[in-house]
Amino acid sequence: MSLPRLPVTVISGYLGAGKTSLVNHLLRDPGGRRIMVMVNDFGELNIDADLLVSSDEDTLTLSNGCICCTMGTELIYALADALDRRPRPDCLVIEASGVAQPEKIAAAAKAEPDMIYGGIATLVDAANIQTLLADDLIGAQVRGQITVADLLLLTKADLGDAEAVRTAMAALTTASILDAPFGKVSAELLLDRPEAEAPDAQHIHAHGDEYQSWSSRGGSVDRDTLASLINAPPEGLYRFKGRIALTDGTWAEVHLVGQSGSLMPCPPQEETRAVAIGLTGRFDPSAFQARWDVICRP
Amino acid sequence: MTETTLFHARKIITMDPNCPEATHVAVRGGRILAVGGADCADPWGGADLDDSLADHVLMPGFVEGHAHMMAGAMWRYPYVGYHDRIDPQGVLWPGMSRIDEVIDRLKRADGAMQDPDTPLFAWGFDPIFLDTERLNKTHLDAVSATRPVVVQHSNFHLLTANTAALNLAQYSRETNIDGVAKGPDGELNGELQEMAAMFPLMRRVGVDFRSLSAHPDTIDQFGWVCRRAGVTTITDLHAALPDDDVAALAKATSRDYPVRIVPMLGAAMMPPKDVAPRALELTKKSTDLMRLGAVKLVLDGSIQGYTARLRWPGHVNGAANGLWVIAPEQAEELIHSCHENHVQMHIHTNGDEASVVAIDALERAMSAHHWPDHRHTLQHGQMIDRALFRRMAKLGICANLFANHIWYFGDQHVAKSIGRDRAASMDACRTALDEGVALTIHSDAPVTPLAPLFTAWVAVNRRTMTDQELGPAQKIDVMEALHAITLGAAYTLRMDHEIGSIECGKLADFAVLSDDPTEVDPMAIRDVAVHGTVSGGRVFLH
Repeated sequence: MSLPRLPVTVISGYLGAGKTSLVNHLLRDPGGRRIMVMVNDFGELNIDADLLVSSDEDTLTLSNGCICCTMGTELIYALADALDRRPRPDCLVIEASGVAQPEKIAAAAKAEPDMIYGGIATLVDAANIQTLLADDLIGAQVRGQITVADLLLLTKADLGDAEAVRTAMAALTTASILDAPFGKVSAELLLDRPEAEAPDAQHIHAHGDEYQSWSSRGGSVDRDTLASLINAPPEGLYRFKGRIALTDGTWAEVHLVGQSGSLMPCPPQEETRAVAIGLTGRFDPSAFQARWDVICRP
Repeated sequence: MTETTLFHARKIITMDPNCPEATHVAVRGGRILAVGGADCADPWGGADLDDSLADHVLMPGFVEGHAHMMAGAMWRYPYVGYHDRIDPQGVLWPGMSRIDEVIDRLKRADGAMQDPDTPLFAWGFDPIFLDTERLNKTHLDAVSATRPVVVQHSNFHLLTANTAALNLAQYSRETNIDGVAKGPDGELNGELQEMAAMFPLMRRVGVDFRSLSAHPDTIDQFGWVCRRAGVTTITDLHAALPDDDVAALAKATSRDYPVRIVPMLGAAMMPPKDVAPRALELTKKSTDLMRLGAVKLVLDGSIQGYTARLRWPGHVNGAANGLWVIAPEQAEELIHSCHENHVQMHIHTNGDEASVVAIDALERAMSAHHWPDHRHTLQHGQMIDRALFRRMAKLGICANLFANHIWYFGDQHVAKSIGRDRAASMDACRTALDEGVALTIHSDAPVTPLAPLFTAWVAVNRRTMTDQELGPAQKIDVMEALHAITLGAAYTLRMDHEIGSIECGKLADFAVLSDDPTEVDPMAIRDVAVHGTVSGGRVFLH
């Protein structure tokens, strides 16, 4: 199969946490990607009329992708439909239901060779999260969505005690928490790209308040050192991926999002290419470059 | 004048107290004209005698209030389970208790397949009953080294694959994914656990049960499954029901179809606010053999899967409480909206906490909107206790209890899930009836096989698979059990004015039996053979 693999990002969070706002935001600004979005309900979306190409019972076709309404038990089949769609979208965004176990959806993306796991982002509503966590009926499931997240997005921070919420979150997970008022967060952070697209030379970019990027080409790395890098990623590193020459002469494809890393053998490439994205203020690209310089032999 | 047929039977059990037994039933235009003796049709100008059922016992056609269309689709593939099963064609598939028997059956299936690359898929395998080593890829490699071979386990959460199949999914020694199991040597052992790990393989093997459910073959097979079980009305209790599927079902059931199907709109298939309007829209598409309009709502998971929502003290083995399939507050919104719009709901609640949430929400909806004869039904309701049944009786909520669970899973519930005391009071048919709750019992086919007389047998005898008696206080008597699988179920489907008993004016739906279930030893009810059905006056013998 020569089609590029499909990166899958799962948007999770309890009812009212702001998932729909986030999806609306991604649809407006997908960062040049053709995205496919699976939502629970079309009705809540706010789609620009000039974006809409056509619509039927359960699919809206947009000039920059499409939206499918998919729910409950159908979801796993919908993943297959997404892979079968032509042209294959550049990435798939799944809005999980308010009580979904996002890790189950993520697990399918991790298992499927034609997909790339793009992370679970869980929205946390600062105004209500403490009440929800204390709820006898629903607390455990809400907590589960937080503990499996690769990234927490804090909404309605102005309506609650954001600091107390951050402290409560830190007690539940090591995942970073980012302010996302009205679900606004950069597509670059949330969504992967189909294949590693490294620039020509080593680069460090600052992209405003949200994230910093880093990339590198050439050299080779010891397998165990590489494994320990993705098993214990540095503070603030959110995405790291590449096809990397190993010092033993083989090649590895590495993929890290949040706390979830994988290292798999891959065919030899022209040269090592690696890219990283981290959170502004928590990820220091220069420090990462310094570390890379130590582990990467020319 | 319309043709009138007079069926003569050895005995007719009518379930109508006005005339509990008869020998003849006259049928005109698919409906029951008269019931009684040989002369019952005389006042109506006589009838043509049909003696083909004269050696048999007739009962009202059985009504299954909780089954799924998938019960027909499974039989596209070979069955490799522990229990004997009879396929829609009437072929007995003997249960298998050894792995080599499973392998032999798969080898025969492999030999019967023309194309060497078509995957071989089998279902129903249940390792907990096999004392031998666990089924692994080496066993299945012996079936074929080249053809992908996949054995789905009976709980649908596991499968075992051979090397050719694992290669399809690109699983290897290097794979490090939850649910892709490995042996002590670090090699794949062939077992894939849970949907995520199974998904890449199922996708490539091309087994997609979703696309099968509206397939004409599946609908046809489902019809056969029903007539073999004496069932003349059955639910498909969670269907997506897009217009295309409804049209396909209407077409497939329009000609000589042996059973009346009651598909229920799965509420999880659409946003809560869209459910009631869609159900009302579907109501208008109903035909005689396809009754639309009710909604299925799933609140929690399963007790044996530890995903049911339980009240204190929870699982006896310490497992965490289960999962809500829909958020309780969203369920509340749905329940209000459906009740307000007079859309009947069948609500899946396995754990007692889920039942409480459903009953609370229903009570609030009923306080807000007057609809006395709603017949909302809790499906499974396995842990409903006497206090909850009292509330249900007051509120007019019906119960469709999962009697078959006692036999199939009772021992596991004692040992692992909820312990002996609560297992003994599970599926409390006696309490439900004593408290005045309208009751039916079910198979959840294909989860357990469709066989209402077996389901009645379990409710009467409360035996587990290891022949232990579990909760004798909850036994009901034979007539109560027969009522549950006929009129009881008809009531929960709002069809008791049309089916469920053999009396003048109702549809001529009969189960054709070898013996009289009210006369045989109660332990032998499950052995009463079904010879076929009469559906709307049309005879469907095997």
